[in-house]
Amino acid sequence: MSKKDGGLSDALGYIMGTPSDGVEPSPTALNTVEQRPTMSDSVEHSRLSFRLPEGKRQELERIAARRGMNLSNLVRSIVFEYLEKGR
Amino acid sequence: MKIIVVANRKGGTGKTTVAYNLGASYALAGSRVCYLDLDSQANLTQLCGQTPTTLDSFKAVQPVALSPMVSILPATKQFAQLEDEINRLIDRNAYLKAEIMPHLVGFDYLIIDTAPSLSILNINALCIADMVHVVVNADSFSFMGLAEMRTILGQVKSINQRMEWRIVLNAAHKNRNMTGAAIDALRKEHGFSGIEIPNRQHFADSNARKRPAIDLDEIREPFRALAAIV
Repeated sequence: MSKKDGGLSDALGYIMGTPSDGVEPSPTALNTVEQRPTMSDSVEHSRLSFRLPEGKRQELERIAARRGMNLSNLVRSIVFEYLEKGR
Repeated sequence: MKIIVVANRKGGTGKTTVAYNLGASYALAGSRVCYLDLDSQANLTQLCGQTPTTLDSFKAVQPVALSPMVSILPATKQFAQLEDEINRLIDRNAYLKAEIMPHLVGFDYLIIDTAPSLSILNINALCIADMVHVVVNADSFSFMGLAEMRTILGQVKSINQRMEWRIVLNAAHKNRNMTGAAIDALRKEHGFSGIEIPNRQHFADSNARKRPAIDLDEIREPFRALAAIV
């Protein structure tokens, strides 16, 4: 049975320059994905379109800036982190 | 420095993903790795969190350090222009060797990801390779591409005698009848490395997160074997 090695994943993130920086996505940010409230904005990434709730874009941009990411990549990473936690 | 080229004339076989995870495997084992992205699609560049560079920056050969272990010389969207320039050179097979390689120092491994073409840049890469991993899938088109690669590699061998090459089976669906037959045929091919990388959703997930997929032991093992070849 194949298993994912979380510790190794962190090590690989460091090696490849994509470390988990210890900054957890804020609960608000997670909620924007989970609760799907009023839609007023969107982020395009490839074929996926993530719609953001009104007024949350600036907050997400601040989180993205802290992580050295752009907004599109941050939203995508939040989605993946959310999926990981949901497993 | 060992130079490893990941290639196939056919597109979509997973060259970039194999190159990325192979580099990560070397780095994880303590080697210093530099990627060289020769595909103007720049997917390896993007996997490494970088953006395609300009042709002038590419020519300046300033690798971007992703960590103390891993660097990348990003691709440019202007490779077509560079190839026009290379094609006008007298020794057009030696551009990478003469203009790029002298500046790539301090690495144990150079992993070169190529475009699915017979471009002069790809030929340049083959001409400096210690090892070429020909990444194939278990389908009929891959077999056709493999035949073409054999011809090309045979010709390059006259220029670069030290080059060796191996076939690496990527995205193997062992449980499908047709694929099983193709895998059996591939196992009999001269040059088959014996390495079969499984088809797993984890690759797509990891690529989207810009992370190697070798944190999954089922994927880590074939890449460990691949890294052990050179």
